[in-house]
Amino acid sequence: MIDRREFNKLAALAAASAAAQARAQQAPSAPKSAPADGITWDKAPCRFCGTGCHVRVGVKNDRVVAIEGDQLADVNKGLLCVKGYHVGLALYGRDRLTQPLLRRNGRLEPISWDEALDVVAQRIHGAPDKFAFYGSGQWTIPEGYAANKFIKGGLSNNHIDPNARLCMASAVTGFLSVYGVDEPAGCYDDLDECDVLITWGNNMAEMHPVLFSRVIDRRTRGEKVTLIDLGTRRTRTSEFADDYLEFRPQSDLAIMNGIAHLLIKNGTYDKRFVERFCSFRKAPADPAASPTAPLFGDEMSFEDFKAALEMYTPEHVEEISGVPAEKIRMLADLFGNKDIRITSTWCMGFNQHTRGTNANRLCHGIHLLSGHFGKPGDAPTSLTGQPSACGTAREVGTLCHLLPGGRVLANPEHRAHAEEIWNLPKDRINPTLGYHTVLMWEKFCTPTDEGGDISTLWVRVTNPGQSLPNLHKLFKAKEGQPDKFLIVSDVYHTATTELADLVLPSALWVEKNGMFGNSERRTQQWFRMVKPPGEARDDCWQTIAVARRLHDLGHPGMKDKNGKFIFTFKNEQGAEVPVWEWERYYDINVDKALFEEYRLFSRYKHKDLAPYDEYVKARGLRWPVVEQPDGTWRETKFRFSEFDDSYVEKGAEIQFYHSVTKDDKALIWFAPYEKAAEEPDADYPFWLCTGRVLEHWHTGSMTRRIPQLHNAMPHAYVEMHPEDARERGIANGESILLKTRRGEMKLPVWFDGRGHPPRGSLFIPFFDERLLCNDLTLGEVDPISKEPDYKKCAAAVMRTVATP
Amino acid sequence: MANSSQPKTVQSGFIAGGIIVMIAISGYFVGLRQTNSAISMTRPVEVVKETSQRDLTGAKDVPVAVRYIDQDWSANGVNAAWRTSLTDFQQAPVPPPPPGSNATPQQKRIALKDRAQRRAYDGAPPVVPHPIAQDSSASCLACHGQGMQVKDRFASKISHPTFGGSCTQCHVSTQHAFDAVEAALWTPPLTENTFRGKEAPASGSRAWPGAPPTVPHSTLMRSDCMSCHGPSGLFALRTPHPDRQSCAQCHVPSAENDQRQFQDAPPLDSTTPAALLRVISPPAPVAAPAPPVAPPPANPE
Repeated sequence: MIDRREFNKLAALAAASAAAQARAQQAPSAPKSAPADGITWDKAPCRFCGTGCHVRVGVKNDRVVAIEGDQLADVNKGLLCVKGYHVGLALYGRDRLTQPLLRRNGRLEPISWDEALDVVAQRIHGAPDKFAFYGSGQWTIPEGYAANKFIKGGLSNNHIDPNARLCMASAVTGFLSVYGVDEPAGCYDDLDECDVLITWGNNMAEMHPVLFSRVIDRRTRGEKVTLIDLGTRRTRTSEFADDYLEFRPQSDLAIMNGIAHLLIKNGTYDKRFVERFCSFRKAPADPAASPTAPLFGDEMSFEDFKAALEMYTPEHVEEISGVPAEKIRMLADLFGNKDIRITSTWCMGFNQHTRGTNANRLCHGIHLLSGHFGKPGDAPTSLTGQPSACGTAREVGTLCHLLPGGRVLANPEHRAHAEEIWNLPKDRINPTLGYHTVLMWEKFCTPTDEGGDISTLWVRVTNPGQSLPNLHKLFKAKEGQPDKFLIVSDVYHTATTELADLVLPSALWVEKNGMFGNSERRTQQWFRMVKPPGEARDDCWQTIAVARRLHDLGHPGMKDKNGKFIFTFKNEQGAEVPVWEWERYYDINVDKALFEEYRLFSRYKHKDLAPYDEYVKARGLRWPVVEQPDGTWRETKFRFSEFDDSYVEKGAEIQFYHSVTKDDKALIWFAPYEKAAEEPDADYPFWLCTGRVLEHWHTGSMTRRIPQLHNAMPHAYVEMHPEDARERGIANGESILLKTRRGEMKLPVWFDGRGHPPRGSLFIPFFDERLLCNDLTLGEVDPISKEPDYKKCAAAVMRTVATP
Repeated sequence: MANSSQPKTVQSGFIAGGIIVMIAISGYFVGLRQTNSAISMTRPVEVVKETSQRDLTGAKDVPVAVRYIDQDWSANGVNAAWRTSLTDFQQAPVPPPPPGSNATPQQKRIALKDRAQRRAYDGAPPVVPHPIAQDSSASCLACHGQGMQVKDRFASKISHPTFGGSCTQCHVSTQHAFDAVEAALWTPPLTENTFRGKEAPASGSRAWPGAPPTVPHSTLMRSDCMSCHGPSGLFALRTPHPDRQSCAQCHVPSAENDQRQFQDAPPLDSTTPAALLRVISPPAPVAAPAPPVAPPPANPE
């Protein structure tokens, strides 16, 4: 029998959980607790990198006042990095863009949103096939989804590509050609379990510091974890490594082939794993020969594979790479040891590489060949640099050849499926692929009468005026072409807005609802917590508002097959809400409506997403998120492994259920070592590498406005070996002239500083918009992924003052 | 016969062996002490004193400062735990706080202001007010591992020893490396930042004037109270009773500040039904049953 007090307690509990449930579903969020100090706290993923830490955002009087690491978050367990702790300050640079600006007589002048939307709509309406979106891995999932639907489903134009092309396209082509489906099989839990972590050209201590701490803090707790850093430059990561192996740029290909060679020669490869779960492929000699061949490759027997590796003896690899033969043997012995767990991580070192796809393939290959795959701690894992490169660019498919959910434009069935979900007339979606990033900018910068057939380009949430390679050719050439129109939506003035014809002020991070997808397949959600400044407005709204203008101008693509506007949303009462009117935009949760529609795309490649409300409750969930018989939703940590992935058949152990060869097998690729696109010579004797630093996030447009970060790293520099400097009489801190075949730049030398390049090698961070290192870099791309190589070109240095 | 003498031989063998082992052990520790005394960071003042009394011109026996690069940082490697505890014996003890350092409100305000100057907001990782080795965190713990005093400057003790690896992940230096060009190249941030951060809470709450105050701040990343409240902390923040070691025995942190409100826990806000609030908040009428504590959120597996 329940006594009265017990009964009251239960009733109260039921009421409380009902209230909590109700609160979770409303939008935007209500304060989670009645604050004593006037500060309310809510969760959000960090705005910066692809790690996807969750922060708690403290808000008082409509302003962010504090940030905490979220202890409930699996990713970061309460810890952040210095950028994450200061992410709230990114909103408050004094020069936030607060009104639309139109260039008239060479000057950007304020105009109203109404005028601005008309300008955009008329530019697009005039030549819809010459319009392009240049998007971003910082687009939220609903923003990217709306833009993708607008251009591919509305304008029947596929010229949409994200800046993610510049950072992870080679990882995508790597995953696709090995497993038949994009994104890592493992997750960050591997970092808690591995015995050996190999960082391949990956300065995790600065670029993914929270993940790095997740590994090295295990040492503080008394666990043993061996860290092997392979790099072309000594970094903070190397300082923690048990072995730092320095290789000649581009020779990573030879090192991995050397490991595979020894695994086979010593018989230490995992014969059972390879026979059951893998087959062999080689990269076609001419990747441009056919559009599908580059991803599928040519068949190859194990014997052929073995023969192809014959020449990669440790001694030969030493000759190519400079890594001692005994160290190649050490690596091969590690992979040959089945009693340890090995996790490999990589980021831009493999991806920004003229053979980036092959570098990715070879790394997956040595894991598959040695059977170091599919168990917690045994994983080849690529890390991403942007908060939603995975969630938005890759999963939503804001690339010029993709449709949402892993579908490709080239496949008529995939187009039909998208038309069905979007309720579009048959053949609305254009089968012709759009322009990839480098081509898009080339076409935009080329005069119209010379074949430059992109005339209006809308840049969203990114800063190509700083981040594109070979800026002279791909960005600055736009200047002085009056028929080219550049639209930029951003939160601050950047190198890109310098050439913009129209600037639209955007809401940033917790000034809007949003969703991101991080490097470990984790989809995350947050609510708007503060209002954007001035007239800044959500990017998603900007797209929908322009679509509505086009609808009103009579563009047929803006209607579905029932004649309804393609962005029609209803409230709970079933009434349509004109969300294209800014005042009405938050009458409903547009993010939720878009996400629920997008979710329909996610099942085809088994990237199942849960309903929006599940993400409201969670600190992100890793797909596939599979509905259980009891109605709960279960995330997947280890894909393709029977013990965790519910899509693997019973008894299969490992099943690559999206296999390229349709036989549930992954592909182990052979790809040869090939020289870099440009190597040092007598005129340009140095290797030049570019990259990032801990304090600044990418082009620095946010972090350079945060005093704590700016003061710690106020300007760019060039790292050089002290001996190289001494030979040329260059002092530490002296400004030198750095030259490549593309351009030249004056900047200070720093040796014995943050990083230590070997002799004959230079490094520049790319965050500083006053010192644009991409005036110097090479525009050469990987032939398969079309991702440029920012890490290797030839350079010369000169003193700017006469030697005394 | 031979049998009877054998135990004796064995016995003396044992004794001799024991002595050798003991000599070896003590020699080992003495050796360690000597190695470390060369890099001891605790007595830089003495070095200065010694040299200042001499004529340095032409002197050959001037003690040369050990460069960071030459120092043995293996103490921060895999054996860090026991190496650190051995070297602790040699650390010059940080002077005990002045007795009864119950700071005045004015002193406390100054201390909090000092503290705030190095942080974007209360809870942000403090910036480093001195130059640091740019490429490695190895040297940070030499001073901040246990905290120490160098003349009138205090190196605070690390407040979160379990996160001991990558210090520079969160703490960046405000002092840049190359001074010569710095003046020419340094520019103020792109623009002024208008962020105004959360201020440090003034004090915890006391149930009555003599009651131990609650902890007014989050204890996240501040698990070692002695970092700020110990002898190397700012004067006005030091505990008046440093002899007491178990802080949390009397001073309790807040579940809310420490993010211990779990997903499915009953909310503490105004939407909470009155019946539940009565159960968990004073003044409770009688000895009410403990609030239903929700288990930590189940791992969704």
